[in-house]
Parts: sequence; structure tokens; C-alpha cells
Amino acid sequence: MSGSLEFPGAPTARPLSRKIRDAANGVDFNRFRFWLQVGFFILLVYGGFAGIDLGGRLPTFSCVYNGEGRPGMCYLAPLQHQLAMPWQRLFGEAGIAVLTGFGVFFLWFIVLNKGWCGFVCPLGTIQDWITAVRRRLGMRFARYSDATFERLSWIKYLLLALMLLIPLGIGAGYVSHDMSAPYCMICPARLIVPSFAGDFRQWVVDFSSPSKLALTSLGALTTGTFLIGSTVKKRFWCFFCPMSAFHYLLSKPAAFRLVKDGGKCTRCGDCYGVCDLQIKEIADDVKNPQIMMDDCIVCLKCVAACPEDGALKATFAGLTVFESTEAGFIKRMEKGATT
Amino acid sequence: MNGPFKPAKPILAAAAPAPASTVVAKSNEPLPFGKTKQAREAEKALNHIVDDFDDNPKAMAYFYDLFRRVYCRGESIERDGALIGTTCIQAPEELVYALGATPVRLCNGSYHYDQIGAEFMPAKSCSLVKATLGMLTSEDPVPRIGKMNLVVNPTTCDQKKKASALMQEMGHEVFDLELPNVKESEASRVYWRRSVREFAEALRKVTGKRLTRKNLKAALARTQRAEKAFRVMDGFRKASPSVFLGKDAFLVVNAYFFDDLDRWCEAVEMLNVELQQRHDTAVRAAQKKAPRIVFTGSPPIFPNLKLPLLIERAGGVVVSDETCSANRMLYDMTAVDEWLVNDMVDSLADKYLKPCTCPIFTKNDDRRRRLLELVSKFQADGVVYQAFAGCQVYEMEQRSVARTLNDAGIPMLYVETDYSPDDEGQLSTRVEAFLESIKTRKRMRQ
Amino acid sequence: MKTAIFRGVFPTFVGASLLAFSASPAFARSVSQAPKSVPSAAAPAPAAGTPAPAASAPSGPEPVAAPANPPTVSPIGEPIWISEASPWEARRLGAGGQRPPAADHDHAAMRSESAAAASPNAGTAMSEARNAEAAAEAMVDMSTHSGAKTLWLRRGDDPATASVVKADGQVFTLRIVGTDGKSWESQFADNSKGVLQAKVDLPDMGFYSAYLQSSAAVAGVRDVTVAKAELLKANCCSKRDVDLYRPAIDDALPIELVREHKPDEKVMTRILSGERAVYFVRSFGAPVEGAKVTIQTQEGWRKRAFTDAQGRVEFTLVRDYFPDWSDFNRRKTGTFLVLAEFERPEAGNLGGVAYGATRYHASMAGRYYPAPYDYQSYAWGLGIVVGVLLVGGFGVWLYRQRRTRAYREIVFDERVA
Repeated sequence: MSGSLEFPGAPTARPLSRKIRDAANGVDFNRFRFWLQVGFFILLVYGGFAGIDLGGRLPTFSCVYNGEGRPGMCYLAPLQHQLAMPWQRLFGEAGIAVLTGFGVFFLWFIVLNKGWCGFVCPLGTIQDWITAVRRRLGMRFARYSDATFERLSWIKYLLLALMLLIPLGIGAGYVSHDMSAPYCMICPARLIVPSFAGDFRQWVVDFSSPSKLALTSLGALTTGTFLIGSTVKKRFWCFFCPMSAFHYLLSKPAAFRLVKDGGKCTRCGDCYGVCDLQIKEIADDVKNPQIMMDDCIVCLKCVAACPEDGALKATFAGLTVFESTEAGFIKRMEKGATT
Repeated sequence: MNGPFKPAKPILAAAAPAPASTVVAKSNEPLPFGKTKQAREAEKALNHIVDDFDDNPKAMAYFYDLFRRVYCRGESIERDGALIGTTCIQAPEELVYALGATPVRLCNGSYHYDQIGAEFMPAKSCSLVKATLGMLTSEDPVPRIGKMNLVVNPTTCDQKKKASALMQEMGHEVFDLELPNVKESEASRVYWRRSVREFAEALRKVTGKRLTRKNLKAALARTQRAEKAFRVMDGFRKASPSVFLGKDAFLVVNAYFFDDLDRWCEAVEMLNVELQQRHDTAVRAAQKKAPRIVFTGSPPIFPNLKLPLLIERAGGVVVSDETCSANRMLYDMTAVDEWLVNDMVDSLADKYLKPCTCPIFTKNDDRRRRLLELVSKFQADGVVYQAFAGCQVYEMEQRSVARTLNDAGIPMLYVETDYSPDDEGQLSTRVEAFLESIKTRKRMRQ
Repeated sequence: MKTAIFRGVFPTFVGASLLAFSASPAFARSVSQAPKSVPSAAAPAPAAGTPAPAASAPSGPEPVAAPANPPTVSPIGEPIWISEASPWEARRLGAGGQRPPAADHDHAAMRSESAAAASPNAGTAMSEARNAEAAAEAMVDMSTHSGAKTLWLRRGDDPATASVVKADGQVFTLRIVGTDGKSWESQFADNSKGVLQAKVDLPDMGFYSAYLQSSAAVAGVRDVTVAKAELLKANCCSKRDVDLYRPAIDDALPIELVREHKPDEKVMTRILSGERAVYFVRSFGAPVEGAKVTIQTQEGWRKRAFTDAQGRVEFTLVRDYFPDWSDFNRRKTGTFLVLAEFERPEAGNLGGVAYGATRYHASMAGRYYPAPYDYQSYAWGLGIVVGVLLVGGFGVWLYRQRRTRAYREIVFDERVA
């Protein structure tokens, strides 16, 4: 019997591969994810102090402004700088460099797909910590209504478009150079991530020019909004993140995938209930096996919360890495209810 | 709480007077319950369940005994706290347990009460509703569950909905739990969550207690235990040939309606141990070539296990079911993200609504997919679809279900019946023919 | 639906445009074009070919390759110094840093002289000003990215009014030394516009020092001048190797001004108003005590100090940039000039002229920028964040309070028709 439940008197003669699989599927998922996130956070916020250099094409918020601590740069910053080059150079001799830079980023990305968001991103980890604090305080979380969700979900694409177009405008000379790295200026990670390494220089409003004033004020505003939003909404910023939109647009050939077997789905909605991003399709869509939506951060909470064997799977290059099992589900929910 | 089975709470054996309307007594003295026609109906059913089959699992003795005591001898079962009666499985029982009360499902399977109900219900009504109302209208109904503090009536099918007013007239305190008729929309989800919250409020007024994180978590843990025990038991029916018969499975879950939760869990866990032993030692309940049947439709409730018994007596085995008196009561499990009261209540609400395959909803996509999944998971050979005469919703769904099963090449037998034992002969013939045709198909394939 | 649009159309569009651009003639042309050749550092002057012996005698023959009759560059009293700013920019900066009107811009000069092609085609008159400003900033900012540097000679001790040394048929040798000790030579020659100009191509990342030496004997005193420029090749993405950012020093020189680098010196490290600038005066690798060091900024502030036993002198740069807010340019480059001199009783004969004492002069220019404190406010930044937190927090609380009381209603729009 696959995924068989443990009960008194059950024989334990199972092959090793099955044992490994069952152990993986029955893991205490929240704790596993918590420690993985801590590890990546330390790497991405303090790795630079240990001399680690992973290059400037990382598909996650290893913030550039954390100059000392970062083990590599978030790709969005070099991308915006590159796009701000004068067009003659950008579409001329520098074009190859831009393309190869993008190629490296793409290679990093397709390994984990949007799992970079759910497990690695330090800003995501910070949001999860804020959520944990909220839970301790007994505050309930907020949900968007369907209508609000639809309306707000376009914002990340808008930010992505602006992030690409404004630097191009700088390169063409239509936009002031003070508008360089526009997304970095409004990203809450710019203020918050370096602060974890002791660098508070980004918490300023720069009055030296109107553009700088506008952007830095906006940055402070988004940081405040981020802090409040993350307190009441799980993974608040991820819903608006242009990196998330960028990932999604490139995610077709990725190796790490979230796969659903619609036949096994009872549409119980447990996956939707635990989803931080309130993605409906994960519960409602029983036809499409590639179930990773544009908001999905591949945190795999849905897989951990699904009680049907094999309905949801996380696969890497076709191999199932983590799948929903009845036994795993029961183990996790029993732990939750009895602790 | 795993360990050798101990008889837990004492069961008061009370000799109750028989309901006056049942039987014409020879003298003016009422008969003891055990001798009434109603009790004999139950006894007959139980005897068939026990005696028509060899080698019942020993752990089933608890359940046989339980039904004998409660249905045949009319013993009452004591309870703690307030008593909340429910008429449908959508009423969240975890909330009831959390507030220290006891839920009991009122759906009744007795032909005796069906006849009583027929006196004031329309002729073409669903037998189940008639029986339930018949029971509620009686002075001292069996099973002897006692005086209820509240009856929760989810607004499901038409007949249950209208029954609400009738129950109130009978003197019961009724709470209408508003269940939406559409389950796909956002509005319905929000509506249902609010209904559940209002239910929690009503319970608070009845019990005088408040929902807290601690008591709700404890209640969830208890029902989780029951759901897990059920799933394990159900899992044994996947084996081919089956280790466990459908009639026993139905009986076990029917016991859940009224038995003490923790004691029930213990008994099922003991049963699972035995079933595992049987599985390992290759003791089988059914023949190798026995046709495997998925049972769906109007719920068989003791003593009306007529159709499943017919199937199994004719050599088939009911390996799985999609009915609200068995599988659907305990299969779906609650997933909670944040163990805070607000999130737990919402998760519970979702569990009772979203995977529900009751035909009272507008669309039945989920039910059809579930049937296909069950047939495949349990390696079934055919489906038997029971609809009670007068059950508009099940009768109307028959077409789409038949089409789906036909497209998948799965044979289906559609049976329209009621609680009366008169059509057993005819049904038996049809069932045997159906099983025979399945056997033929299997032989032809090989 | 959104999914279909973006996942299908967007990558196709991006891919197609990238393909189109890479196939475009402009791209092909620029890729195949060889970069503009920069005159190599091969020193033409024959006598200048022999590098100076490292062995140093305080009062010996002239160090470094200088012809027997070194051309006199400066009349006594007027120091010469090397500048990375072109004459055009000198004019611009000399005018007090105000933004000049569009008509003054010499786009042709900018384009031909700037090593890093900074300016795109100026489309309209409106963007000319912006282009020029951007280009000028780019020239200053992006000059570190490229290794090709252009240097000019300036004469005068006031950076604001120092004139550019014009060519008069003479050629002066410029020696460039790297942090690894390797050196080569270039030349200050007529750039065909009547101005002396030298082009240097830095091979690797890091700091280099360029020296121009001259000697002259007048009225019994020999003046030895070493004009120095500190050049940097680096970009934002280069490694944060500490070694890379050491100053390049030549211990064979009789006088050298060395700027002390900050401990965390990097490519974007700048001297800001209000910060300390620390200099060392050395002679043949040894510190010089009691040398007079003068610093003068383009705004006219001048300070004088004497080196201590370690040859060290420290200045704190004044804040001298107080424009109207609308004119504020945080990248406003100010130039300051550091001059050092000391005297030694070395006697000898130079070109037939006898002298009884030798005065050593060194010059080095530097750039300074407005301090962040002038335009960055932590108070405002923190204030906005805290403000949003308070308003947002209160808003959330209020919203939740109201939600517990009444249901959200479906409200119909009462618009007519």
C-alpha cells in the first residue's frame, strides 16, 4: 500500500528507497523550510564577509546595497545599470555582455525555478519571520477578496515594465540619470537587507535632485508599507515583486516544477487555504498539470498540506522530490494539533 | 490511546417503555422494547450482517455488540455536556466537541420510523427524511440519545430544508445552518465561512463556553484521530481480494453517528490491527473473483443496509463507497496553516464545503471525478448507484454519472428503492444479474 | 488569459527584438570596428629610453630619463600640475561650476577627446543641455571604467584660474608607474589644437601614478619639479581586493606627494567636503619632515601646513558649495591642488648654470565632492517609514474594527442611465 499509515502492529519491512521517500514526504515541512531559509539568509546577507562571490547574476534579492555582506548581486541591479547605457553602446558593443549576463542569470534561475522565492530570497525570509511574530501575538491574517486580488495582480507586471523601460529611457537621454536603478530605489530590500549587516545608509531621503528626492521618498514609503503589509498579509511583497513576474515569464523550461494530478484532487481546497499568495488555481484547476502560477513562490506548503497521495508533486528534472502523501499530511497535522 | 481495548464508560441498561404507536399490545401493558417490531427489524438486519458471512473479524464484535445493545435492546447512551443533534454531515462537529458538547447524527435508517413519518409527510418523500422526522416526532425514540439541546439543520436538500420548520413544531430547538447551493464561487465560500462562524456563536449561547485555541485544537486532534483510523481501515479494502467487507465498513461508520468518539477510535484502531494481521496472513474476506463494487448514492443507514448486504450476499464485495453515511463522513481531513482560532475555523469551514460531493450543489463535477478516482484506486469492477425514491437530487444526477461511467467503460447499476423490505426479491435478482455480467466481462477480457 | 499573453507573447517579443538588433547593421558595424587606437606608451625620445637607476644619491645626477638639456616647462614661481580635466571642462569648472548655457558646449571637442564615448546623438535642443551635463558627468564618473586616460598640463597655483599649457613645439616625457612597480613612458605633445596633451593606456585594474619631471637652474637655485597625477582604472564590478587600491609610489623620485588612501578605498571612493585629506611627502622613499604643503580649492580656500616626522600632513576640506536647491548637483566636482616644497643645500651645475641650493616642488591635483550630509537626511527617511507604519497600522486596526460590526454591503452605483 503506497503511503501507508503507521499503526500498531504494522510491519516495517520496506525497501530503502521507499524508506527514504517516505521520510522525505513525511518531513516536518515547516521546520525543514525554516532552517533552510535561515541558512540561505545567512549566506546571502553575510556571505560576503566570508569572501564568497557568486557573481552578479543571482535570481534572488542578494541586495547590491549590502556592499560588504553580499556574496553576489541580485541580477536586477546590474540589469538596470546595463540597460541605462547609451543606446549606441547597449545595442552595439555592450550587447553581447548584456546577453551573456542574462544567460548566466537564466542558468541560475532554471535550477530552482521560482523556488528561489520560496526558499532562498532573504526578503521572503524576512516576511516569513514577520508572519511568525504576528502568529505569536495571536493576530489573525488578512486576505484579499477575489476582486481585489485580480486588480492588484497586475502591479508586478507594471513594475517589471517600468524597471526595464526607465533605464532604457536613461540610455536614450530622455530620462535623467538620477532615475537609475528605479526598482532598486523603491525595493524594500534596499533599506532592510543592509540593515541586517549594520549598514543603515540607505535609510536616507536624498534631496540632491527632484528625481532622487522622489525615488528615495518612495523607497521609504514602500518600506513602511512593506512592514505593515507583511504584518497582516503573508508574503505581502511577493505579490508585487517584479522579480517574481520576471521569473514567471521565463519559467517554462525550468527544471524544478510544481505538478498536479487533477484526477486525484478532491478539490478540498486545503492547498488554497495554506497558500501564502492566495492562489486559487492550485485548488480549482484539475485539468492543467503545470500548476505553478505567476504568483507562486514554490514554497511547497500546498504539497505539504494535501491529503491525497500524489495529487501535488515537486519535481526536479522529472524526478519527484517531494509529493503529497496521506501519511505525511496526517503526521504534520497531528503535530500541529497536539503541540 | 493505543492499547488493549477496555470497555470504557458504563452503559446504563434501561428498560424503556415501547412507543405506544408501534404495536398493538395484547394487554394494556407496553411490551419491553426488545420485543417490539422495531427492535426485530434491527435484529434481523444485524443477524444478516453477522451470520450471513463467515469469519467476521473478531474486533467487529464491539460494533455488533454496540448495535445490538442500542438498537435491539434499546439501551441509552450517556453523554457529557450539551447534546447537539445534526441532520447532515456538513455541520462542523469539531466546534461542538471544542465547546464540550456532544454531536449526534440523527439520520435514521429504520423502516419503522419511515412509516411513522409517512403519516404526515408527502407520499413521494425521501425515506431518510421521513424516518428521521418520524423518529423525532416519537416519544422515546431509539437509539436512545436523550434530550437534545439543539438540532442543527444544514440547508441541503429541499426535504431537509422544509423539515426544519417541522422539527421546530415538534418542540426541538433548531438552528438553520446556511449551506450555499453553489460551491465554486468566492461568494459561497465567504457565505459558508460566515455561516460556520454564526453556528459557533449559536453553540456558545447553548453551551455557555467560548472557542479557544486550546479547546479547538484538542477537538481537531480528536477528530483527526477518527479520520486517520477510518483512512487506515478504508485502506485495507484496496487489497485484492478484499480483507474487509463493505457491510462491516458501513456498520463501523454508522456507529460513528452516535458512539463516544474516543471509544470508537479505540475500537477502530483495534480493528485495524486485526485487519493488518489478516492482510499479512492472507486471510481474505471475499473470493478472488468476487466483483468489486463501488457503492454510491443515497446513504445506507443501519438497519437499512439492504442493498450493500444484497450485493455481498450475492458474491460481490463493496470495496468503497461515495455516500454520506460512510466514506464522506470521515474521509476529508482538515489542513490548518495557522493554529489560531480564526484560521482553524475557516479551515474547518472549507473542509466541509469544498470537497463535498453531495448532490445538492448545482454542479457535480467533483462527484464524478471522485467516482472515477475511487474506481481506479480500489480497482473496482462496477458501480452500484442507489437513489431513494423521492430523492430528487440523486435521481437527477443519475444521468450525468451514468454518462461519465459509461465513457470510462465502467458498468453501473442504478437502483431506485426505499426503506421498505418488499422489493428485496426483485432487487436481489437485479443485483445478481449485474454481478454476473461483471464476472462475464472479466472472463471475456482474460 | 493574462498567463497566455505573457508567457507566450512576451518572450517571443523579447527574443525577436534581440535577434533584430543583433542582426542590425549598426550592431555588426560596431562589433567589427576596432577601438580607437590610443598612442602607446613607447617613449620616442632616445635619451629618455634608459630608466633611472633605483639607486639614489641625494645630490647626484638628475633621476629619470631627462635629456641633458631638459626643456624648461615653468617659469619659477608658477607651479605646473597635471589635470585629467579637458580644457573645455576646465573652463566650465573654472566658471564656478554653474551650468553653462547650451551654446557653449563643444560637442565635437567632447566627442573626439573623450575616451569613453559618452554622449549619444543629441536629438533636440532640449536634450542638448541634458546630454551635455550627462556626458560631462559621465566623463568624470565613467573615466575610471576605461583604461584610456587623457592628461593635460596646467600652469598656476589656483585651480580655478590656472591656464592650460600650450604646445610650442616641445615634447615632455610622462612616466607612468603601477602598483607592481612596472613603469613605462608616454609624452605630452601637441594635440593638433595647440595644447599639450598626453594619452595613457592603463593595462590592469588599479591605481597608477604619472609623473612629469623637470629641472631648471635660475639665479643660483635649482628647481626640481615633479608633477604627479594619480590615475585609476577600475569599475563597480571589480573585485574588492584591498591590494588593488593601494597608491602607486616611485621611491626613486627626489620628491613625491602621496595621498593616503582610506582603509576601505574602492573605485567609487571620493573625497568629500568636510573629510580629511591626508598626504605624505617623500624623498627617495623616505619621509620628509618640515616640508611646506599647501592645498587650494577652486573656490579659493587655501591652507598651508608642514609635514611632521612621518612626512604626514592632514587637511580637512571645507564645505564651499552652497547653491540654490534647484541648482544643486551632488556630483559637483571640485578641484583642489596640493603643492609641496622643501629645500636642500645641494650644489651643482645644471646646463652650464651653477647653483648652490635645490628646491624641490611637487604638485598633485585632486577632486572633491559635496558631502552627503548636505543633501541626505536620515530624519526624513526614518520619518517617512515610521509615519507609514503608524498610519498604516492605525488604518488596519480601524478597518478590522469596522469589519466586526457590519457586513460588507453590495452597493449599487446610482449613476443616471
